[in-house]
Parts: sequence; structure tokens; C-alpha cells
Amino acid sequence: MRFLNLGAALFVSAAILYVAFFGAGPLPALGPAFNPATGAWTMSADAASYGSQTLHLSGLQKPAKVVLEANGTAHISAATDHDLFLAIGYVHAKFRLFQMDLERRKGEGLLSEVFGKDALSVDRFELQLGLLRTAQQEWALLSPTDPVRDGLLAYAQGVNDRIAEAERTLQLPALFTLTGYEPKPWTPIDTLIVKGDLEQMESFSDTPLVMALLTRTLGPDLTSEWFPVLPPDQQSPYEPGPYPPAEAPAPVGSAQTISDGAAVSADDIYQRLAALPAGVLGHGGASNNWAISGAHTTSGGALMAGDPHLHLTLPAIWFQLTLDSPGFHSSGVSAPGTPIVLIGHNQHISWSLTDALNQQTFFYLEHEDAAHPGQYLWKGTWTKYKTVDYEIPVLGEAPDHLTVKISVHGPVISERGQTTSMWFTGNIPSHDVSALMQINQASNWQEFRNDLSQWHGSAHNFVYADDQGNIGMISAGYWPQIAPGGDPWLPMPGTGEDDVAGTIPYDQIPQVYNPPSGIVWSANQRQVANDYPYYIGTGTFFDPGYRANEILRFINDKLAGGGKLSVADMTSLQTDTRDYLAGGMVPFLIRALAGQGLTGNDKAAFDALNSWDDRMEVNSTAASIWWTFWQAYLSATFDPWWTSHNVKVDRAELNDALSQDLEAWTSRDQTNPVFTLVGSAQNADDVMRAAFHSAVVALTTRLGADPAQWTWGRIHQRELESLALISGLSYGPLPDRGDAYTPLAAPDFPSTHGPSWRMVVDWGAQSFSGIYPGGQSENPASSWYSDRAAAWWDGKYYPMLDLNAAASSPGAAVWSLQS
Amino acid sequence: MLWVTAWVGLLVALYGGLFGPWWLTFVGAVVIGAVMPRARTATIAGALIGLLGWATPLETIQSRYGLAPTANALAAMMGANGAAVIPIALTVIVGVLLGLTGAWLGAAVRGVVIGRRRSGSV
Repeated sequence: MRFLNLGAALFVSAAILYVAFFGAGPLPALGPAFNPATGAWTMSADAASYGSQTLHLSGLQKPAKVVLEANGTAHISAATDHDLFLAIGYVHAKFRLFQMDLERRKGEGLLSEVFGKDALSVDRFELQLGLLRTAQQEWALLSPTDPVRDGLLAYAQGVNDRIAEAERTLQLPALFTLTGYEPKPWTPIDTLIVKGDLEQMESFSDTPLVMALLTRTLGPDLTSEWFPVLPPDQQSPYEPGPYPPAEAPAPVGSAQTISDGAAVSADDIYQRLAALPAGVLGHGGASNNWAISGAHTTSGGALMAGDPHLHLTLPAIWFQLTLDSPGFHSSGVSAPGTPIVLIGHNQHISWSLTDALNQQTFFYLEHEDAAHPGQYLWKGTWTKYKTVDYEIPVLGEAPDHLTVKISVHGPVISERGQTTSMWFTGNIPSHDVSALMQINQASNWQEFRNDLSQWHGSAHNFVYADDQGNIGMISAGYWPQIAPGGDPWLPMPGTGEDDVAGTIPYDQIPQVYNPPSGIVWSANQRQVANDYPYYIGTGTFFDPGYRANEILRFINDKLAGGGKLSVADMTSLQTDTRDYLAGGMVPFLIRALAGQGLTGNDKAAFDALNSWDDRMEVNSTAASIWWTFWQAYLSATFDPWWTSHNVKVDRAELNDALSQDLEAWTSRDQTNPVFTLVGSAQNADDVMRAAFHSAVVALTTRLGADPAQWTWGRIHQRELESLALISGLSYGPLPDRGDAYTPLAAPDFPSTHGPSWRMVVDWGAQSFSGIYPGGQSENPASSWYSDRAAAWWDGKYYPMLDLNAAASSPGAAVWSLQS
Repeated sequence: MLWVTAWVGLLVALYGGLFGPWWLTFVGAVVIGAVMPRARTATIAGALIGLLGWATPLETIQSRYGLAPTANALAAMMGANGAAVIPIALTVIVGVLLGLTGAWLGAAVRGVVIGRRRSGSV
């Protein structure tokens, strides 16, 4: 009996200790995770550790200071630039260490090491793509005397100071404890990886694969008609020309076919990319920026506004700070993991950016032959692939071996069907960090433009305004060009004739400075008019242009009759919910429905649309009717084609392009053959009427029989998603205004993408304001975790204070940094 | 002697709860189980030192920083939004289980050893 008791005690003790030490199933290791001294409860102490104090950082050359406003905005002041970067590293890590670690792990293919085999698809993709190889190259290319090198090293030192401090005081972020690992030391390559992550999210595109699949199924003729190089509708390019004479862009080749092998390969890659978790690849861009010259503003100084639209997460992608040192005096937002203000202002200039969305990813079909194993034919020569081997550590399993083959075009990304490699601007070593550091120090357009000439990564539309009333826009970055005759919108032969031959010369990329109109604006639209002499991407790469058109309409309305714009107009435009597409299309729908003898809910819906102001507001029923109608119209028009042609690409993924087509046909080509496949319907009006009725039925089914209850907020919600994918740590989902085509962008249901930072600058009044959704701390127990979310949701802004104003602001804390 | 053992066990568990080596709760309880003559008393004592060894540091956190924000955050992470009591209870239960099983194991070992001695003396 005693032995039985001992056996039972041993068994139960072993079980309890096992779960306590190692966890079981969804349970983390309970001992490390929940013990009050070093477990997740340390979040309490961390959240209380933001007050005034003296901190000792190794590597600091002279005393420095951090002033924290009551909302956590950090103002860093240092006597040397080295100390400034070191302090930025410390502050970033103090508030965002887990986020930073997650970002570097993503780019370095090390997520499986801590999250297990579920993350292996991401790791394999990232290592194939090559952000790590690019970051290593960029680091190797920095000369020992390059100030950027010093800055990156100092930043890494600051991060590592915080890691050491957190380990010493048992205050590593709780998610490290709960996931059971500790951060490795930070290196400059990690910073370059985080920069690469951003670039990938903004610029990587699978459009050529999609075009290949469409060409294969819909056929070349329909593909070229429905997805043309040039937009089918009126857009508002910010650089309308005239341009230097050159060769006109080639149309999509109607004779182009896709081989079996190429189709298999395209489908393989497309399916792989589609299966990657949200946030790994971007949605395509959706950002706004604009500037108004001093001649058109109430203050007499230039106005500038910027709101980059990104994946909205908690913690947010941004961290707000100001920098003061002998070489830097700037304010704005930085990406944790990188040591500089990315969007903001200094004493003389302000800047913001949107994604240029030109074609930056090209796919190549490598010509192989069984007689030449491990080689591909390039420019008439059988060339050996380079290979790089990786051992991907996987939690609880043996490491996963990955060999990446690299052709002259870039990494091989699929060997199913025909071997396909990929050329991506993110794989070009670029001096982006150097350019950003210099922008932070620039004081006029010439310096700004010169600094951006080093920006060789993915192209962005940089808006500019300065304290002299000047404004400008330049789409800096690579604008890859291939030899005439190629079809860059499709996977191309890898035999050499279609290789990327260079980029558009810097003087000829889209740019304007003090245009006669006095305004510049971008919203991911095609930057140039149809006669721009270079190929920059088909319409499918770019935003459909509705936000850009609405921004231009709003500004021109204000300026009409000699009006002037104010800061209030800027904030109003950033939160504008007018759907430009609805503004153009609803009149056609009303016309199609007029005189049809509508009754019941059809009549109520018609009346709501007929008196609507095109604004996607939470309480608007017409907004729900419009959006549901437009989806039904797209579906009624295109789904029969998708079915009859067995198109494998998700139609919804192409709605931006198809909406442009539908807009064009509805307004100018009502009898386009596209409408005839749906049976009895013969023109746009017929399809619109049917779609309208099915929309009303759908809304009745979903939201009830009373049209007064069909408010947009019941359909459309927004969520700030937990970066750790823990739904309880997310903010929302909550009803929200806007849609994919409003300046206040809110695509998807629920929407997790939108204005990640809103900034408005008035150089005349020397006023700077901004806000991002979230909070400065990643600690969910901190009051700074999501404290800005509600104000952001309501369209409010916080003043961007300078150091002195921050130090005297209510509730400010001061950290004295000592060596 | 028994009181001294109980106090030492509690201090060991508290040290673990306050400074990091959380598994000391189990070790202290094993010692209590091995020393106390009555198994039932020992297991109750073990459970108590587990309770105090883990609840006392929580109380310290509560008095210094407030426990609610962290408890709410942990509850949210566990998918139990608003149920802040769950992570608090779970933490205390982990401590109690470590103390309980430690004391049980100690008492069981003691029982076997003493039983053998008695068998040997007959």
C-alpha cells in the first residue's frame, strides 16, 4: 500500500512538474509563465516603470535625456549623434522589444524556432525571398567610416542595454515568458531586416502570376481588355506632364500564351502566397499624402498632410518620438527596430510617403534541360545556379533543411511545372537608412531630392513641404525597365532578353516641385498620365484612383472662387468618407431604376440612395445599399465568366481592376459584350437592376426586414489586430465608417488596414499634429497599450510637441541616461 | 521542530515566489512531507505554503502596482476577456498544486522509509 501511494505520488508529481516546466497542449509552461516573480505578472512592474528615473546605459558617451509625455511620446535629447541612436535603441526596446524580435524573426526565417512548424511556410518563403541575404549585403557594403554604420551599431547597443537590463531585473516582456524564449542580442543586420520587412509588405506583388493565370483561363484577349496597362477611367496623376519624348508604353500583347509548365508554376506560387498568414505580404498600398502651397492657405505657409495606410496592429507599426542631437532635430514616427524618423518634420521641412505601387516584382521562367542538371540557359550559356543552404530550427522538431537556388534574376521560388525565379526591388542592397538619416537633416527641396537619389529600394511617393512655403512630390526609388518587346506583366523567359536592364533615370521619374496649381497629392494612383514614355506597371498594380480623385475634388472645391485651405480642412479630408466611385455610379443606378415601379424594400432602398450624399458613415443605410449593390453588380457581371472559364484566381482579389472596367462600361459602353453572358440581361442597366434587387434581398436576409436598420456600421467594422494574434488583446472589432475607396480608407470586413498615422503640418502657424491607432507600449497591462485608439477612431489629433514643450507638459516624466 | 520545518518550507516557497526559482515551492513541500509525521497534516501544510508562497507575491504586486490591469490582460490572452479572476486563480492553483504534490511525495517517501525500518526492526 505504501509503495502504491509512493507510485501514485511520483506519477502525479511528475505530471504536475512536467506541465509546470514544459506546458502541455495549449498550456504554456505554467511555472515560468505564472510565477509572480519572473512570469507574466511582471507586466505590472513594467507598466509602472515609466516614471522619472536615472538609468545607466553602457556605451553612452555623455549624459542624455528622455522626456516622456503623459501619453508616452518620447523626446530624446543627446549630446552626440552616437548617443542619440543608442538612446533610440534603448527606448524602442523598452517599449517594443517583443514586436522588434518578431519582426526580425519574420525576415530571418526564425519564426518556427519559437512557434513551431505552423510558421514553417513563412520561414521558408522569407528565406527564399532573401531579405536576410540583402540585409547582410547591405551591412557588408557599409564602409567602416560611414556614419550610418556607427548609427546602426549604437542603436544595437541601446537595444542590447535594454535586453540586459530586462533580464537583470526579471522584466522581459510577458510574451517572451509565455512563449518560453529569450531574445538574442540585437545586431545592425536585424535593423536592416526590419527595414526589409517594411519594404516587402509595401512592394512585393504577385500580379504577374495572377495575370498569367488569367491569360491561361480567360484568354489573352479578355485579359488584355479587362486588365489593361493604362487605366480605363479618368484618373488624376500628380505629374500630368508634358514629358520628354520617348517610346510609348507597349500594350498588353494579345498573342501571348502561357505554357502548361508556366501555368503550373504560377498556380503553385500563387497558392503558396495566398496561404501565407495575413500581414506577411501587403494588400497593395492604400495611403494618402498631399501638400498645399502657402498661396492657397489661410496661414500663408505651406500645408502638408500624410496618412500611410498599413496593417493596423497592437502594438502599432509606429512609435512616436522626437530627436535632438548636434546633427538631428526631427519629430514624427519611427518603426521600432530602425533608428530614425521615417515620417515627420524637422525645423525646416516635412515629409510623408505613400507606396508608389509601380511594378517591382518580376518573374522569370528559367530554361532548363535534363542534360544540364543544376543549370539554366542564360544569354546562350548554361549557367550554374548559386545555392544557399539553411537549417531552419523548428520548435519541438528536427531542423528543416532548405536549399535556395539563385539564378541571375533572383531566387528560384517554384520548381513545379517550370522553374520560376523572381526579381524583386527588395533584393537590391539600398542605402535607404542613409537616405532617411539625411532627409531628417535636410533643410530644402534640393537637399531632400538629392538625399532621395540614394533610395534604391521600392519606390514611394514622398510629399514635401517647407517653412518657405514650397511644396513638392517625388516618387523616389527603383522604376525597373526591361528591353522593349517583353511582357513584364507576365512571367518572362529567363534566357536573358527580358532581364531588368535598369531603372528610369532619376530626373525622369515622377516628380513635381511648386506646380502652378499649388497642390500635390498622391493616393497610390498611377502618378503619370497615359503618355508617360515608360512602362511602370499595368493598371492592376495601381490603386483604382478613387481616393486620389476625391482628394483632388475636395481640394479644388475648397479653392474654387479663391478659397483657402486650413488645418481643419486637412483633418477633414483625412477623415473624409465620400466614396468617389459611388458619386459617379449611383446616378446611373438611379436612372436605371427610375420608372420601374419599385415597391416595398426595393422602393425604400431606392429612396435612400436617391437622397444620399455618397458618404460611408456608420449610420448611413444608403452606404450599406450602395456597397452591397456594387458587390452584387460585380458578381452578376463577372462570376459567370469566372465559372465558364474556370478562372482559379479569387475574383474578389481583382475587384479594384474590375470596378474600373465596370465603371467605364456603365458610363460609356452599356452594351459591352461582358454583360451578355448572364443570360437574358443584355446591357448594363439590366444587370444593375437585377443586382440592385439581389442586394435588397441580401440585406433583408442579413439585417432584417426594416431598411431603416440597414446601417453601414452593422456591416462594416474595424479592428486593431493583436500582433501576437491573440484576439483578446485586439481593439474592436467596432462599427466604423469608410470603405476601400474613401480617403478614410477602411477596406475589408472587418477592416484591419487603414490610416496607420495621420499627420498634419501647417508651416505658417508652425503647428504640427499627428496620431496613430494604438499606444506607445506593447505591454497590454500598460495604460499606453491602446490609449490613442479611441481618439484616432474619433478623428482627433495630438499636438506634436517639441522637447521644451514636452518637458513642461502635464504628467511628463524624465529619464536621465548615464553611462 | 515541526513548526520550524513548516516555517522554513514557507520561507523557501516565498523566496521562490518573490525572486524567481518558483520550483522551490515543490522542494520545500517535499521537505515538509518528509519531516511531518502525519501525511494528512503534511499535505495540508504543503498546500498552504503553496498558497501563501504564490499569493503573497501577488498581494505585493497588488499593493505596489495594482493587479487588475495585468490580470485583465492575462485573462484576455487566455480568451476570457473580463474574467480577471481566472489568471489570479490559476496562479494560486499552480502554487497550491506544487505544494500539495510536493508534500504528498515527501510523505509517501517517508512512509516507505519508515515502513522499511519498522519491518527491519521486527
